[in-house]
Amino acid sequence: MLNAIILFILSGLVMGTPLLIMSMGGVITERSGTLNLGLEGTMLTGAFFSYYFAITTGSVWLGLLGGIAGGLVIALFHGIAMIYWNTNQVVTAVAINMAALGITNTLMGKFSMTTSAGNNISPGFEPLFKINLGEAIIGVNWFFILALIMIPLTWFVIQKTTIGLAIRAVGEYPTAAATMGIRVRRVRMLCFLYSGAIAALAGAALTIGDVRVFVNNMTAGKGFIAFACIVFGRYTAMGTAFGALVFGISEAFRNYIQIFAWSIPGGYMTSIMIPYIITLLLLIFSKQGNAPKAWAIPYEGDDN
Amino acid sequence: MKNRENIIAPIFGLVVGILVSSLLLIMWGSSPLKAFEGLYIGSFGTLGAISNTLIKAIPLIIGGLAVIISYKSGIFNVGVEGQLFFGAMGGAVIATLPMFQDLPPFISIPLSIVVAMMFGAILGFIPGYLKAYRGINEVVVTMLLNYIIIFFLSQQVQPGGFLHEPGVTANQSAYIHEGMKLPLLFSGVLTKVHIGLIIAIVLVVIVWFVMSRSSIGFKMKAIGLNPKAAQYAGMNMNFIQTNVMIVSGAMAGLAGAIELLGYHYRLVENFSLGIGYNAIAVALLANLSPIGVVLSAIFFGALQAGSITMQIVADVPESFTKLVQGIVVFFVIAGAVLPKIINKKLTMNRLAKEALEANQLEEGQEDA
Amino acid sequence: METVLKVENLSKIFPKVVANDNVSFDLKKGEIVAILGENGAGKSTLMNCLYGIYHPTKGDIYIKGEKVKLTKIEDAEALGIGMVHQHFMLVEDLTVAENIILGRKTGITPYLDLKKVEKAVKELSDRYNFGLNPKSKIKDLSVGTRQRVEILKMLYRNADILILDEATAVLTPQETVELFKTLKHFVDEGKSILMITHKLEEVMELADRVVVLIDGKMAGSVNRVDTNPRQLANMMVGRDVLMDFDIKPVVHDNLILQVKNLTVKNNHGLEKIKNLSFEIKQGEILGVAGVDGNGQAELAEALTGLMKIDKGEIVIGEKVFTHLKPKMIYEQGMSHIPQDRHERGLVLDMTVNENLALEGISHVPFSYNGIIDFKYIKSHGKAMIKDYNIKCYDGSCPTKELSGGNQQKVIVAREIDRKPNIIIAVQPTRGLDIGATEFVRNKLLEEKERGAAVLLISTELEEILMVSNRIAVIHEGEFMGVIDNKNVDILELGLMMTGMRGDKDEK
Repeated sequence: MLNAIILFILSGLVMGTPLLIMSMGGVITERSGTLNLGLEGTMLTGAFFSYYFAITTGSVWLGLLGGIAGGLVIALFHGIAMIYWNTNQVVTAVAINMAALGITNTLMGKFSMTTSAGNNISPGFEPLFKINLGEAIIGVNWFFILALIMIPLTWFVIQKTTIGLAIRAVGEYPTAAATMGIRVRRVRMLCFLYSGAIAALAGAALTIGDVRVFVNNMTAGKGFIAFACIVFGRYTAMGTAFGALVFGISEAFRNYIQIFAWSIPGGYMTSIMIPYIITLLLLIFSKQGNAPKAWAIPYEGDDN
Repeated sequence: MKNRENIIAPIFGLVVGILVSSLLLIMWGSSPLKAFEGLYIGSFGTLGAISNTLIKAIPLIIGGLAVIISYKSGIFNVGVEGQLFFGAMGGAVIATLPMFQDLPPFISIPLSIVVAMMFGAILGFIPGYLKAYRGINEVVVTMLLNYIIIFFLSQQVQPGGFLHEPGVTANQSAYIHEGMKLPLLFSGVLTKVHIGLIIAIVLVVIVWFVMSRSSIGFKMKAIGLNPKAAQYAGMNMNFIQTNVMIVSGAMAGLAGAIELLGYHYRLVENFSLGIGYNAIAVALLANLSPIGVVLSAIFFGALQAGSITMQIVADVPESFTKLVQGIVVFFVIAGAVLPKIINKKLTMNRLAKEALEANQLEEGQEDA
Repeated sequence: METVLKVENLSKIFPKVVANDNVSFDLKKGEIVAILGENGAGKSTLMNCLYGIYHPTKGDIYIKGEKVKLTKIEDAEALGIGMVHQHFMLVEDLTVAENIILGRKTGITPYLDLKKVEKAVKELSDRYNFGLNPKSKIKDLSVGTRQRVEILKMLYRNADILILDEATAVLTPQETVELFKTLKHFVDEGKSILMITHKLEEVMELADRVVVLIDGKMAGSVNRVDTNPRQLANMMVGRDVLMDFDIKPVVHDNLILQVKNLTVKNNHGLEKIKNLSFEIKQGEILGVAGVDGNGQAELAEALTGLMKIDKGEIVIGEKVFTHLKPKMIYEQGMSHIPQDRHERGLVLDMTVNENLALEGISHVPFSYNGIIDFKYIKSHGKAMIKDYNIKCYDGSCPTKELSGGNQQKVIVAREIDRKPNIIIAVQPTRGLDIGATEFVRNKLLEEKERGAAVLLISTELEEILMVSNRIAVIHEGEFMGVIDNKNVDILELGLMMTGMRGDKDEK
């Protein structure tokens, strides 16, 4: 029994890996006071370009770099508009997600026009070890290790470094931070680019780290779920990680249903809905608040 | 003057957006001219194409209005997608289930529409209530609901689902009952334009009137612009926002019913996918003007209608239109703030220069 | 003595405003110089230029004899300039030590060695008898203590030229005395202080020299020993000021507003107003004095229906209310001039006409059956602009383009023109120039004459003393006493602000 529970949690962690990675990046942005609803599009871009570059160069590492670069470009536009031009943060994110969907769809369309059907599997990261579920085997690669490292690391950066202190100050009271010589916009932009790169990395975890193909809109709302995890986790690294774990477990649960052919009302489709419903319920029934005080409020001050 | 500012941002966005997307096309080795030519032929080239464009524009107009009223009231409904799907399911209960097949069309059509609007309203109420009374970000809630509802629709048109057509293996609902198709506006040439267009235009007028001529519209705008001041002035923000979301959801549900009864005639998986998001683009390109929504919806309708022809003519994937859409919207948003930023910088420079000249600097370096 | 700071012909120009025009002065080691001026005279701009936040349009700054160009705050800090802002620049959720180290490293790595900082802060705090605990969070500290943190922040960065921006604005008289002691101690140590203020008493007590600014220009620079408050006041305003309003006694006996045992809790369940009772008669102004943050905001919000009343009742005329909504306030003929006009008073993106119609919009004659009467709104706006002397080109001008004083006039026009029975005014003159301030105060007096009951909540004691019939002092949600505005003992008011109960408590 205990074994089964450990296995359950472990498989939850594995299933939740991309989400864990992305939300650890996202929490840094949110703490710096910027609302990042563009994770979805950034992740999708990262997923596509890592796949694309991996398949065209034949190297997973170049694929990974390409994916991160793609995500950074998206985050750059998004960040400049929001942080330097003070555009509406929600609307900008909606536009960015739309553009990312369009870009990846178009490129994928172009790519599949020129590729024969059998050649669309990209190289991928080999599993470091495998978890045997009896009926199925889950491979664990280094993205998983990275996710595990990122949880304490993110906590450490936020709480125990001068960088984290600056991030927190900029999120709580940017004007005060500015009087202490901190460049508010620069800090926010760097945080934003960081979370963009991380979201793209998480996207790579979906493609070259897992299924090795790209499917249009394959992120399927993970960016928003990551955001929900951050809100649920009250903007802390640990809380967010817990939220992502719950989501991962609910995704693992979905797999169990398929693998063991459990019968639930509504069948397979219900199991697909479950992670979203659980996330929504977590959001609704968790204690709201604890957002940084200057969260989602554009900085009006003069700095460059 | 106010009007001019309202038009500048969309035009800036359109021009820059189209330029940037063209540039991307060139980078990928396709001809933008050919692509846009294909788009034009597919959307306005023939009467059939125009009819197609209009049909695509109908739900975009209604959805765009749903976005506008929410956005203007300080709550952003990005859940039109899910509300439209859910509304279509509600409409399908009346329109496809056998128990209602004996209703005469003059009852069943309005009933189907009303049920669709109720379904949409319920789905709009959830994020509205959660935002107004619990402070939960409405964007996340509506996005999550979108995914859930899209899956839910798929589930219900699959075998075993309550909307599934009995005796068929395909994932689809039954065809709508006899006589429930929305009446067509023209005979012959403009083949498929249905009465939904009239409904959409009427709705445009109503929303325009409410937003610019009624006290409730005034309150909505005040809440959207400064919620605290509006509350101090005695406006019940939570109540108004929740109700706006209900109405917005109902409008999305209406669009769903119109898609079902006017165009698709049955529910299938992912039917009308993306309309809810396109509606956001429509509203933003229209700069949140109810009248502008018509033009903006026709533009995006044309993008959709022309995409297939473009793919054939220019060898550019259909989804390129989505890219154009996203980039145009991004630059519309940027276009709304850039003039202010540039203006501010210019004024500062000019004033500084004037000051320097006026004071006739005798010594010291001029610092720009 | 060595001149540590010299400003020559400094000008700073903003779009539409010349904030500083050819300002020159100097500051010597061990000296306190006061920059005196009304709100909007350009004091803060000048200080921001010295602190590297703004860049002067013209003119030179010399520090310790060297001409410097301050392009960012670090430049100023590196030269030993430290600034204590009027609104504390402290992050509430961080600790004292964290606030002090913010923007600096504790070693070569980015690791935040909080222990090291806490030790250093403790030592510094002990040296100046500040009694700070480096581990406490700012949000748990009193206002006076927070200010000590602000000062310590500068000392930690080895500042020897301290700029204090309206340092006493939020302090009680007793805390002010403490601050002045500390400042004198700094000067004895050889530090120099530049203090910005609009309070004459402070200047007379502390400064060695005074630089007076008026509309961004220098009105003069005098030694404290050669001047007197009256001369300074005249220099500061540019004309003789009518400081005394004629407070006419209350002639009516009927109570318009009664508050009985009012208790209000905030979101966190803390009692911000505790069992408060008072009443205001027709044609009376009750002034509520007190240090900011003692429940004034909550009192105003409860009375205007924006905060839930936990216990107690409010009697308006004859009607008893145990809960209020903003809409009911309007219907009961109660007006409200809120504390923050940008945040709560106006919708800046709407026009002047629309803002004037903001509250009445659902009612006749602004709208009929939910349809707006634009003709009326326009003519009403036109009349208001004329009657209240609002400076704008037209009623269709966006409110954000108006000056602060004119924006406040829009609110006053909206709130007063409908002849309310009760007016709740919170800090109605904050940030206004002398002309607009006089205008608002006169309007309140006129309304009182007309028969309105006015509740004036203000942290400016001067304002309260000028117009109120009676004065209540609020401290932590309770009235320390309510006294008649005749032969008031300022010291006693000050003691009440710190929480001592007044013995002249009367009904």
